[in-house]
Amino acid sequence: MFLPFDFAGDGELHLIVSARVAEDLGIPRKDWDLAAMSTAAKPATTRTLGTRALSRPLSPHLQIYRMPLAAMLSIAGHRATGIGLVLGLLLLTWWLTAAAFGEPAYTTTMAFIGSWFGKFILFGFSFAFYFHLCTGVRHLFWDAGKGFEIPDTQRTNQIVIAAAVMLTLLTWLIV
Amino acid sequence: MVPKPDMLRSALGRVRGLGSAKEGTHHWWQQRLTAVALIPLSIWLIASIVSLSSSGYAGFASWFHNPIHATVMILFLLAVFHHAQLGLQVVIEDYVPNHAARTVCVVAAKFACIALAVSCVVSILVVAFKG
Repeated sequence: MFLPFDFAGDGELHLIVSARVAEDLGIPRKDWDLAAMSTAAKPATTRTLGTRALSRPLSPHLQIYRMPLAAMLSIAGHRATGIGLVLGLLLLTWWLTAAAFGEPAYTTTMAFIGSWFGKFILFGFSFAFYFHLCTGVRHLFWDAGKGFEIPDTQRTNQIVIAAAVMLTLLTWLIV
Repeated sequence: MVPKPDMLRSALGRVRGLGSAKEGTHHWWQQRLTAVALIPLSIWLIASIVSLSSSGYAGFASWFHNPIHATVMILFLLAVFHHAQLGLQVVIEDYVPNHAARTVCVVAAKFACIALAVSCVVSILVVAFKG
């Protein structure tokens, strides 16, 4: 997919995409600039746009670019769950330090953790943990150079999601 | 002609494998080592939490009076906070564009992880050695 964008010097964002992608994004045909599109098909051509010259594709913008599932799992999955699990470490620290302070503090902490809200966030942390574990194990396979082909990645996307859901449910069935 | 990367390096530089950051693959490798260690350790922790969830303070205390449990828990804590600190650093470096803010955030994350890790380890030792 070829998705550069640039400022044309007229204060408007211009998106240079193929017709298929423009349709996918739901951009009305009246807004299509066919002259710009034919230029985009020849990326080696230098096209002067206001004061800037475009001779190469620029990075697609996150809000325009529809990320593949593997990218979503990497950013929304592995990184976001990692940050979430740091908050889980705060809860773990509270639990352990409460125990060190003695039985009354420990009982107070456990009363919170045992409440419906405590269980709700624990459920969230458990899913985040298993998700991070599964995507992390896949990262280790990638580090070993395995599973880089697109069909492999699409298959492991499904495995990672299914395994995380099943491990979470299994844990809460035991509890 | 485009020079190959090795042509720009001294013999010593090639042996050490360090780039301009002077740390080579240290960060990456630490993250992977702690990740591998955390696979069994974190599953052990989940199992411990599940078994301790209904046993009250006495159950918690007697669990960590066992030196093996205390040892595995401290290994988990060291690995997890090191891993968290490394991961937070990567995320901060990728998403905080301002250099000063980025440095402050990375240092704050590292200090916070060290403080939390020490308080957790001390807590386990307090419970393990008590009575």
